[in-house]
Amino acid sequence: MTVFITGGSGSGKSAFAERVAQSLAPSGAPAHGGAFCPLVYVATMPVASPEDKAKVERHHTLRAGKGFVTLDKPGKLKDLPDGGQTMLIECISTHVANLMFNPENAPADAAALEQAAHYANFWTETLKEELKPILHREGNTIFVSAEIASDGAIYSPETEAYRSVLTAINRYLVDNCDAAVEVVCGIPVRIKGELPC
Amino acid sequence: MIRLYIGGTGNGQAELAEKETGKKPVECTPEEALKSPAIDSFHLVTRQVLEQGGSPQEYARKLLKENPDAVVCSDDIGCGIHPLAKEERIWREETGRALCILAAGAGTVTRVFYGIGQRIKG
Repeated sequence: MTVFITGGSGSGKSAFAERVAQSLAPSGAPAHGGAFCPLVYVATMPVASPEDKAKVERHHTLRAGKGFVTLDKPGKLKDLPDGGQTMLIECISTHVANLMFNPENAPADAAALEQAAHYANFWTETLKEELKPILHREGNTIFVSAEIASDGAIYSPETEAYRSVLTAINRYLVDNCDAAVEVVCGIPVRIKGELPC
Repeated sequence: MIRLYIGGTGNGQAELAEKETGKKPVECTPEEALKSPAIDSFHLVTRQVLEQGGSPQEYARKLLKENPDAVVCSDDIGCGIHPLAKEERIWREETGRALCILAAGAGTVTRVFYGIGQRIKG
């Protein structure tokens, strides 16, 4: 099963995503020494500041004792486990920023992509290609993203491109996932499909 | 039990709350909110709590305990671009977590979309 979960800042989406993962995971003891672990947490957050560190530690505390192994993927989402594990990827909004704002990932034909629309299209298509095999992998996948599109502000061209790409990717994931949920004040609001918990 | 109304700014939370509960929400300081029958703009209360050096999450627990029948209206401020200023990021996230605490203890939670209420709890 594939599940898309979104919500605003501090909405409780992470805690809900963990509940979903646990309810979907096949029974079995957590991995020790490389054995099969039913729950994999893919963390996209790069740790660059004390604030990031505090956030990561808070998430570690939230997951403590719940049987997850954590994979840090602050760059491209590659070399992911494909042995039928239930995988929770958090957070797509950070992942999109990681790729778009890393100069190493700048498109080769930068001159042709100067126009904002072309730039946003390039990243939207690149991310869709990256996410497609993950959507079709064996095992359950839970994608956690974020609500960033409702503050009514006008930003720099780079941030506007980011908004445009992330919202396009969120739409792509909602379209292709079996279920989609928005978490509001800790309460899951069903958007699509049947919730596993 | 607490009745919570949330929504984007200007969506008519206070108006719907008054229509449904008969209590008119008013803007309060954190101290006043602990006694007010109907609190408007809870997100500004959490901002004042932070400015006073307090914790919005602790404050939410206190509000549930000391004003258990309050009507609480708030803007949902967590659905925009990650703010550049650290204080704004803290306010946004702490308000979200305080609202999760209020919602968990509330009897009803209503999300307001341009005046139309969508009951998501109770």
